[in-house]
Amino acid sequence: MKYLFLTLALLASATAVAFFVSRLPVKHEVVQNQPKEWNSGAIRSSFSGIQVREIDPAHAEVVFSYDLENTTGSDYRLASGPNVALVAQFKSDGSLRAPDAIRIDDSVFLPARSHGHFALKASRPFNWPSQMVLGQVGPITQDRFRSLVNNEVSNVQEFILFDQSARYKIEFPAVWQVSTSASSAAALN
Amino acid sequence: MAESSELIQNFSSDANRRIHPRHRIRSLAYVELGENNGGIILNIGEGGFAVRAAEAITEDSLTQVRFQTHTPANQLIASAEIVWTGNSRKEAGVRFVDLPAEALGEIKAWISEEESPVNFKKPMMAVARQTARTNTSSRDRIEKTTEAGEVIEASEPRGAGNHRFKSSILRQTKNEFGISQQPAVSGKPPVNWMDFRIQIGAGWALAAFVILLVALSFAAGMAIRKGDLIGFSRGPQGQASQNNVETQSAVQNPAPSSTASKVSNIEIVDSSNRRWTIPAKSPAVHANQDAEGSPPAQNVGTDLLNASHAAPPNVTGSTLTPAKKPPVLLSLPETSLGASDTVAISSQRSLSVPTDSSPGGSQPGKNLHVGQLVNLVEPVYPPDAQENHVEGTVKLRATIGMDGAIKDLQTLSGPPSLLPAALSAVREWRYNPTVLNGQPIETQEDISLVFRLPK
Repeated sequence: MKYLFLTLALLASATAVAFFVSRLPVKHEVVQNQPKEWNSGAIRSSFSGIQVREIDPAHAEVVFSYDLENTTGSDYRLASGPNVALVAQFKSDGSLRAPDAIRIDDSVFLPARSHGHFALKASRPFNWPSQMVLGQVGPITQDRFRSLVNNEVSNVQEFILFDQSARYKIEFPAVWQVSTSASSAAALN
Repeated sequence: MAESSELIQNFSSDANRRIHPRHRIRSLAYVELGENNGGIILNIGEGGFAVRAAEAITEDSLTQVRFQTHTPANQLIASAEIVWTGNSRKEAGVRFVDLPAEALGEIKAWISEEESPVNFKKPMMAVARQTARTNTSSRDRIEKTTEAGEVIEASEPRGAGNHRFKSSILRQTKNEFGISQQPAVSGKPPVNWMDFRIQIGAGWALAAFVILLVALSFAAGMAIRKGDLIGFSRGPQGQASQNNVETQSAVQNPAPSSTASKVSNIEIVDSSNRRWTIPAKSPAVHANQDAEGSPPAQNVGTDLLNASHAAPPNVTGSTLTPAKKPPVLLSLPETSLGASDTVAISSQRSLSVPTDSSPGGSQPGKNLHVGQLVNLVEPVYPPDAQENHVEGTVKLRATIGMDGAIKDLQTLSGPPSLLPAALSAVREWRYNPTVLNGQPIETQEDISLVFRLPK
């Protein structure tokens, strides 16, 4: 009788171990099929500034500058390509949408644990003021520039860049506070 | 049954006449009775033994008997004579004749061994082995004879039948596990029911443990499938997983937004690289909505210096606002430092100028003398980059110390293969000290080095 129980115990234990081990490869396959989680802390960004550049008398380029920090122990290169997707998260509904004609700057190489500079650029039609006096910008002209920037960022919570190769998620916070006066807004463009 | 009663009577009558008492043999002891007969010893004493033979005993005297005692290696051979026989002449009493002293000592030891229940296992196994080696025909005859087991069962002579042998094996097994070492000697059933209940209880406990083990294994398997055990899913994630570990603290503490950057300004740059800085918030909005009391901002500039976005000068129209003013970051126009066949260098200086509220201190850079670059070292185009046709622009940010030497050098962007050459060259640059109001200050310079392959 005792041998019978011992035999049953051994058989049950072996069955349990076999069952347990048999689950591991299944999990392994599941892991391989599942996408890896986005790493949002590898590359940190902080807002640096907004710039409006004249491309030609009829176009301007809005540049959002950020400082990037590579917090990892590995070098990292950020360059536009099919594996890099830039989206904007909208304030209204929190949805992610591809921003209208906003492109990333030239490729940025970030050695391990170092800082770098990065910019998002958007080219827009803009009638550049023809007679800008050096050192002075009138209030109406200022509001025109503000409105140009505001159109880009008014409904944007933040820009998010997904690097699908490295599975990095880089968040570009929208900490700017751009506003135009109500009186001058009507006179824009 | 009649035969059994007769046998018992013989035993009883013999016991009254015996000098030496007989002892029951609990183990199976085989004895050869001459050349063509054999039997099982029923009891034994120092003077002789009782035997159940396989075949009827015809002789009244035996030339010799041969049997094995408790010691497997010892076989006793002795002369003997028949004292009594049963009606079937298969049961008989045998008396030793001229038994040697050594053999007598062996028999005494055997009897003593048989009387001790602790040492019960050893002789039984020895006899079992000996029985297995016994002449096959004789053994078959014995088994046939002992199929009338009721006789043996009633009188309790040991080892008289096949089923008794099996019973002895069962008792021996219990002895091995320490549950019961008490051999069944009288009319007790061969299995101790209390012991059996103990066995059943232990078995159920074992079965419950096994069921619990299986349940735990099942739960663990399900947990792994659901991904609750993260440790199993770490392996195949590769370098990104490593980076996850490295940046764990960063993930937990996301990058805080720079408070300085919240005071945002917009820098205007025209095609001639002239710069203006305007506040991101409209002055009208400031006046109407900003309850913090910060003065509305306006742009101000100089011929050479533009106030950058670090902090706007606090000028409203033509009125200066006497208030606490943060340092102003002044930027010089971008200038070309040099160009060769392969490398073009340009830079833009900037410096932080403290402002004060005194009437004379409202114009930053009034007594500023910007130190010029006095030692320019051009980078050497890396050969491997040339071989790989690598071109590009390396952007660096240098901090120039008060002594004019490069104090800090930071990489902003550029092809990795070109970075070492650019960094090593710029580190050799030397400037004259930049002096503000008679005091040397640190400055910052954004340097662009454009590498182009020679055509």
